[in-house]
Amino acid sequence: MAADDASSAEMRRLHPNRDADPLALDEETVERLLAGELPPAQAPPEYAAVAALLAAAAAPPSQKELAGQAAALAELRAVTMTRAAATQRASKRKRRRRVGLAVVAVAGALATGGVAAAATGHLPEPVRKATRSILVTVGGAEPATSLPLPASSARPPGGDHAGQPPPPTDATVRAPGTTGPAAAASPNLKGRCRAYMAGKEAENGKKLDVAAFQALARAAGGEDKVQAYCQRLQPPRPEPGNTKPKDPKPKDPKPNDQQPGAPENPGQGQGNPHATRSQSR
Amino acid sequence: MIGDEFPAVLAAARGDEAAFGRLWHDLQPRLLRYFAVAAPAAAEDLASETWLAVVRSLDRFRGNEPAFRAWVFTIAHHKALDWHRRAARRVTEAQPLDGLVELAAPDDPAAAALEGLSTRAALAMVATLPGDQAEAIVLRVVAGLGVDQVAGIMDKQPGTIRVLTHRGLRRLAERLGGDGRMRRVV
Repeated sequence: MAADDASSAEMRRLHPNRDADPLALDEETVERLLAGELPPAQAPPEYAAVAALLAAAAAPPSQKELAGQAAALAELRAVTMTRAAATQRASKRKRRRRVGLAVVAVAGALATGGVAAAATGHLPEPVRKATRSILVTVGGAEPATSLPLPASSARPPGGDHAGQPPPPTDATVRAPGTTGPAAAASPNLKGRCRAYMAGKEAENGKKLDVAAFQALARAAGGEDKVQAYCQRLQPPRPEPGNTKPKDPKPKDPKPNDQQPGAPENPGQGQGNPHATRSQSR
Repeated sequence: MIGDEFPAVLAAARGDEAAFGRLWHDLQPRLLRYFAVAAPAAAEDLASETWLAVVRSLDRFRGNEPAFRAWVFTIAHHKALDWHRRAARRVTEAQPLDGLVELAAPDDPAAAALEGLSTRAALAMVATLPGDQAEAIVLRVVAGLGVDQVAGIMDKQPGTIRVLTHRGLRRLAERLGGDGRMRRVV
């Protein structure tokens, strides 16, 4: 309230003529009084009482004034605990939100056919898990890492064969008359190899229809090389090795260990159906 | 007072009760005395409210010890303002402290009053000043803040704070010493 009439005239009174005004104060005396540096005996006589009063106002604390510490500490404790709980809740919320985003991302990926990005690990692990569950629910298909890369799972591991796997659909199309179930259901070379190998020696190839065998033979580079070709192709191990390099998830080197038997592992007989499905699409 | 209490503030914000206890020990008497002048009828409640606000936002404070003290008294200042707003709406007003001074016996020697002057009486005396003068003086003397800090808390220019404290001291001198009518007010 009094600040409003603070004026330069007032400021000038800080450097007063003491003869005219016995209560006049210079700025240094004001500061020393406020700082408690002027004991009453040393203060200007008119301000001895003021000096004593200010000293009393700034006296050391009494026990009574320091009585409420327990309550203040209880407040601190409560707030600290509440904050810790809130932090935990917040991080849980964040995690949930991230999964929610993942669901949206996966839905978008499915809609645009961009499953590759979602399924091959361009998204973090929770997203991939969500992708998996959604794909399983939505399409009944397991988004194994090989899903978007049908060629890689069908292709034999050897570099020498990598360049020349005949597109299985091609074989199916070329042999429309040969209605062997193997050919129709399994345009995939590995599947054919399994069928081929299933009958040993004498029976070799008998379980395959002509078109299917010929497709194998073309892939192997000759009818006599089918056996060797299929042996190279058949071991379950090569498949992950074939897929992994294209799988950009360096932080997840052992998906098999973490999820034993998970369909994510294409090397244990479950990769083929997926590859088949994607190829026949 | 001068010690490096910034780490204490950090520690207190993390729930370190010893660190918080030191801050409280330093500031609680100052807060009580500030409110004894700024809102005498509710000093203890407002000090508690201030601490609650301090504790809740302790983790957001950044600064050194003087800045922390200024921050606490900024909160206290707002608590006092709120209290006065609420009090203005209440029918029963807090008893004006001017009355206490006027009740003092007219023949008490000033010297006796000075010797026996309690902190409470001294604060009650400061509280008789016009509000801005009283608050400026108590923030300087009791809270131990500088002119610039007080100016920031009261949202005024430093020059204005100087004028307010000067006027307040002068008025106190008039009442206490001028005609020898200093009284034991409490």
